[in-house]
Amino acid sequence: MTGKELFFGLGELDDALLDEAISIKPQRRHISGWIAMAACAALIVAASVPYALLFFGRKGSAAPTQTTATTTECATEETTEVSEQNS
Amino acid sequence: MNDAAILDAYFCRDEKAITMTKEVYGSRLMALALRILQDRQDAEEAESDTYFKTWQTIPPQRPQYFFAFLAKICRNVSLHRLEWKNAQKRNAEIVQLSNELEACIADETTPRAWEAKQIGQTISAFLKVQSKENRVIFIRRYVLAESVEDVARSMGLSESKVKSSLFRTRNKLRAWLAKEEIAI
Repeated sequence: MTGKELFFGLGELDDALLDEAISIKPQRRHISGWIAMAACAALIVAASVPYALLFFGRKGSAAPTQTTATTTECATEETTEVSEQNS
Repeated sequence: MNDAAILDAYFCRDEKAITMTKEVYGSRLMALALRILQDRQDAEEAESDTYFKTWQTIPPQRPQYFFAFLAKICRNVSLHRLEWKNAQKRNAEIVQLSNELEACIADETTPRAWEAKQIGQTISAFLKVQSKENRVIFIRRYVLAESVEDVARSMGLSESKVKSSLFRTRNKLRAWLAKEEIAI
């Protein structure tokens, strides 16, 4: 018997066996898919952290600067008033 | 449209049976023929021959698994059509599949004529004692001529797992055939 004969002979396989093989529905590798999605999500979050810090950090530091400026102005005005009174 | 309705149409000698078969299974038969022949025109002719042979066979036969029955006819028609072609033009994939199966034939087996039906029965008996996964992988690869990649995708397995399963099954088949050869 040759490989070719064996290959041709496979055409005479039991119908039930062939039906079993044909009936298998295409399956997705769910676990791998979820792992890949989770890895992508983690990567996006990790990559966005420095930008988020930079953005919110700037916004957060802008307010105190303004407050400081106002406080300084007030302090200057107060000092002027006190010095005028003294003189 | 279920198989019973199509088979009834064949039994009534209603030509709509062929149209119904083509509607339901045409694309899958075409894909099978195309995998073997690698030529659209040849595959279309093989698909038509499949319907003709089915028309000739049913009745008297009433297959329990209709698509399996059609797929077997389509495979045989396609392989015989491939035989007509020049050896150089043969589908490299089929040559590879035959070469892989050559490894299943034990060296010590005495050369004797095996009929296709006998081979089919022997391999069916062998596959029935294998695990379902190994059995399905083997049939999809060597009977339906699917690529390793397609088998892996349809089974939800890695390609390396499919390859190792095929390797193990071929080795077991080699031992099985050697035993059968002695037993006969």
